[in-house]
Amino acid sequence: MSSEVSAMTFPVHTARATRSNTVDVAILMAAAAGLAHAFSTPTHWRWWQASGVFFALIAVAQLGLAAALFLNRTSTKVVLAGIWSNVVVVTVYVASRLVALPGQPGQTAHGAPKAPGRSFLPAAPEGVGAFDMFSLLVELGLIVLLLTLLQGRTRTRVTSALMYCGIGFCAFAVWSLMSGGAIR
Amino acid sequence: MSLSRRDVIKTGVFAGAAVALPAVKLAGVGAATATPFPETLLPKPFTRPFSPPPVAVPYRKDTTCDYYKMSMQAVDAEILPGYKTTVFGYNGSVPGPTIQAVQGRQVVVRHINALPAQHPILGYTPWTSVHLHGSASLPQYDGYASDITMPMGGTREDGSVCVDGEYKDYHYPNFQPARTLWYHDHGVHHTAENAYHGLVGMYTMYDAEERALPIPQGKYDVPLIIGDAMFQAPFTDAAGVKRAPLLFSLDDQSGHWGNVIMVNGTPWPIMKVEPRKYRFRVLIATISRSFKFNFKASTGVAVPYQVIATDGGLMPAPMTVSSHRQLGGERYEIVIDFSKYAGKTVDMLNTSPKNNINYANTDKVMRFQVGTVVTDTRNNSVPTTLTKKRDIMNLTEAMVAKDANGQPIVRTLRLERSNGQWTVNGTTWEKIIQSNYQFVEAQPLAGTVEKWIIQNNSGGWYHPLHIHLVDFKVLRRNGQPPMAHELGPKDVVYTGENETIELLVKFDSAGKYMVHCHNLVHEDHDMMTQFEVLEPDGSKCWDDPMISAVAKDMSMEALDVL
Repeated sequence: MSSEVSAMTFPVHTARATRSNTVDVAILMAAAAGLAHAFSTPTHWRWWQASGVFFALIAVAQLGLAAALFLNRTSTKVVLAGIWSNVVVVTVYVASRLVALPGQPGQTAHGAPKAPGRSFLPAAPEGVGAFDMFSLLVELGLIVLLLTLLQGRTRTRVTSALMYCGIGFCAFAVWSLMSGGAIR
Repeated sequence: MSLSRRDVIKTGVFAGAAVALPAVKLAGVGAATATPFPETLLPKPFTRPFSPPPVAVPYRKDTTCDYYKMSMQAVDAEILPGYKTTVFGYNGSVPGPTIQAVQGRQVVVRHINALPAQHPILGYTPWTSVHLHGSASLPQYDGYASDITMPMGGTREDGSVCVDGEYKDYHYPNFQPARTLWYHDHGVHHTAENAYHGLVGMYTMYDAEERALPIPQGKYDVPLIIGDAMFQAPFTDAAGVKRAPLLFSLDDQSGHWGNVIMVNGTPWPIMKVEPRKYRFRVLIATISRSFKFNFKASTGVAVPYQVIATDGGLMPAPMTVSSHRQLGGERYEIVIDFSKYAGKTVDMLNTSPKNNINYANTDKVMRFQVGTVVTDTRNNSVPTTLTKKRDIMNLTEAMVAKDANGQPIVRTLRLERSNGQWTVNGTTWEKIIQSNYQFVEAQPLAGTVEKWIIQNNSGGWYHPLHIHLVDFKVLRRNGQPPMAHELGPKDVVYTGENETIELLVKFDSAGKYMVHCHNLVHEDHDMMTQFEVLEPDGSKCWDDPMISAVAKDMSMEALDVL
């Protein structure tokens, strides 16, 4: 029933006719990022259930964003939600590559699975891989595209906040490098 | 709507930081751990004096047994002149002191894990399990990888801390014929790091037959424990001590190859010898490197030599060769006659087998400076027959046990890399752990002979395949007779690129034992499985490697009489 209502309210061919190319690309990027996180959810669940839940939530949010954009829901609220949810994802990503996250399980030798009687290494930052770097770039591109959908002062406030986030990343990185001993 | 220049800059700060910082962190960590010691500052080959490892002194003796106490601990060694390197030693010695045993007299070694709670650079907890390689020890004293002994303060997987550290007494029966054995760490997933940092030592066993031979003995019977290492860029610590830590790299888990060749812990040493025959017990204790040795005199001529013993002891007859290849875990006893080279030098060289990573001086091993005076002319020959008592060398395919269908029992072990892991028949040690140590690759009966085929279908790497507990006979290599130097009892076989090796294996006693690649990085990641020898009636062995003799807490050590 609801799908019939949706189809009547937002006929697909009408929506396509009125969407900009920017939104089209944003839909693809949100869907790609959502699928990437959905794909990675089982692995993360096995490693650390909290991260599995986080990945599942990200996947739902990003696929939901893709759906909303596809249905021409491009209000400021939707766009802002899309931007900030992806900023949260990027922030957690950066933090996880700089330090071990609170509650993160310790790792067994060379990443070997846990087994009774083994000791393990302290929890450590995750490595940087091609797949997660791809997801990161897609999310950054998505944030930029969503910014272009904002108007005037709202956009200015958001870009200023992003800049402060970037500066915060740098400060956090310096702290983590010093505390981790990589800077002597 | 397009972004203004100001918006682009502000967003760029965010995006740039998000992309660049993780990469910078990785690059920073890599630089801090991977800068090697400058090759130009390494010692010149053949300038450092040779020294044998010290001989272990028993803690006490009784009528049937010698008792030793070994403390595994971190010590500073001066491997590179002028620089301190933190290594792991047995009783502070790297390599560890040589234990000299006599057939028929048992040995008990109390191994105490006094290592730090965490490796200062690599960060892992250095738990240990000591394997006496070449000994048919009971399963619980064989250095089963998962039968670990914890250091003080080491953290277990469940988060608990081993407050006092642990020790374990290892019992060695010494009923086998004379041979060159060695003890080394076998702790699960950390064998490579622990052995690389020095947890290796020789164990020589003598018997009446070998003692009666006129072959070189005493000071003319010399251990050569050959290893390789790489060092980090030097620095001066807070106490003003110049340091060059060991550099360890897994190289995508393919192995670790150093640029410094060491003999008994000394880089490219020079040894003074008399112009007579010497017997060298050559042990390769590298993590991954294999060698093809040859000897060359300063006159330019190649020096032939005789191989008189292999992993499991004396060969039936000496084999004269001009070179031989040897890899991790293999032991060969060779006799070199220096009598023709008085006043000259003889170099031990390495024409490296393929798939090693070589550096400027990895083609050199050590030099012998031949004197002009012989101080002892006894035991200066090699008889044409060394032994007739090694049953293993008399095995034939006709002796292979038959299965229920009357067919000879032939088992194949495929050594391969699968999904980024090193496997034996697709099995890793993780499978053994997940089965609570019940999964076994094979269940031969004690007292039977089986034919095992070792396959390496890759051209990209070689594997030293080691079977615990047993001695075996190399029957064929790629359908051809074995190499001359392999014509003796073995427990490690060089499984080269695209090679298939046929072995005859006799199982004399029951229990669960490991079989694995002795490229220790492969072993750790996770090319190791196990077999279980059943009692002749088909029942399981009472002794269990994980249960029958576990490590004890150090708080009990003073009360536990050795």
